[in-house]
Amino acid sequence: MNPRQSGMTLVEVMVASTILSLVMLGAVTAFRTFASSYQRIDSNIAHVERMREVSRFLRESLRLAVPDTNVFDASQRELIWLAPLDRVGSAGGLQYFRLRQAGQELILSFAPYVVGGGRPLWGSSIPDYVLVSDVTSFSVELLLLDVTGQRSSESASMKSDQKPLFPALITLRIATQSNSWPPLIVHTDGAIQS
Amino acid sequence: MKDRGFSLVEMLVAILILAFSLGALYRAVTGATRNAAIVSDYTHGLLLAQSLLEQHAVSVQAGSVKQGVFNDLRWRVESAPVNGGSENSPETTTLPLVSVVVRVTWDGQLGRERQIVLETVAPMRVDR
Repeated sequence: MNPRQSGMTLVEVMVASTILSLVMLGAVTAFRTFASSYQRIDSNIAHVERMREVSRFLRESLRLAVPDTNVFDASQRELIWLAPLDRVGSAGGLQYFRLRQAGQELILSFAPYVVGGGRPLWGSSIPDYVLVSDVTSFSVELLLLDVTGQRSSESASMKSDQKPLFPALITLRIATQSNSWPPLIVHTDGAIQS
Repeated sequence: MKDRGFSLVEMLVAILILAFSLGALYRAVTGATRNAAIVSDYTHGLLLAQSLLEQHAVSVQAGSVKQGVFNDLRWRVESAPVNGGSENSPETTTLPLVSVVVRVTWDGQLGRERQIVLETVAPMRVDR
């Protein structure tokens, strides 16, 4: 047996493989940390983006809502309004919008306004668009102003015994499982004329 | 006996390079996390400030200060009469205006205070 050609001893192999496995363990742990934090960042950003997009759309749409109290309808959990939809594509023009909470979903449906056609029949023929899928609470508050600009009444729903007024401020409160959104307070353009 | 595989020094250098690159990657991920948190804070702050501005630009009384807290955001709405223009300018006599300033502040990352300030001018409420 040629002593110069002998391989590594068992101890050498064990030491080498131990060091290698420690290095690999460190590398794998690091990559797993990176992957999980990447996922967390991604979902956080997606939440924020959704909140921003939904808030922007609702703000713009409610601001332009047609001040017709025969059309505008609000309850604690549901809001119906008529507004122009600014969109390139198939949908556009005046649309009826309906925003409501069903289970954990915040759902928007819209149907085109037809002259003399009356209110749309909300049902299976009008598709639902899920805006937010982890809603824990959703509520609507209206602020009515009288002619002099005094805050006449703050009510959760339209009162039927008095002459209905178009709200000057619409407040939507939305909370999701991860956080509660800042209240969405919209000053309607149409309130001045009504 | 030229080809005996890697020497110990070579292996050490390789592991060192790996460690350095992992360190750089780790810093990048930390920065991305921080930036995401900052963006989230700013978005919340901006949405709150927009809502407050719309709420307080309706029928404003001059010289009022309101403040409150929403989640981690502290807000403050100040309104003061606008006295721009000259004394006998028709704009100031016929339509009194109020400047509304919404300031939303919060404690950001690394203990730094961040804020969003939105301003507008609204017609003053005249009680009759």
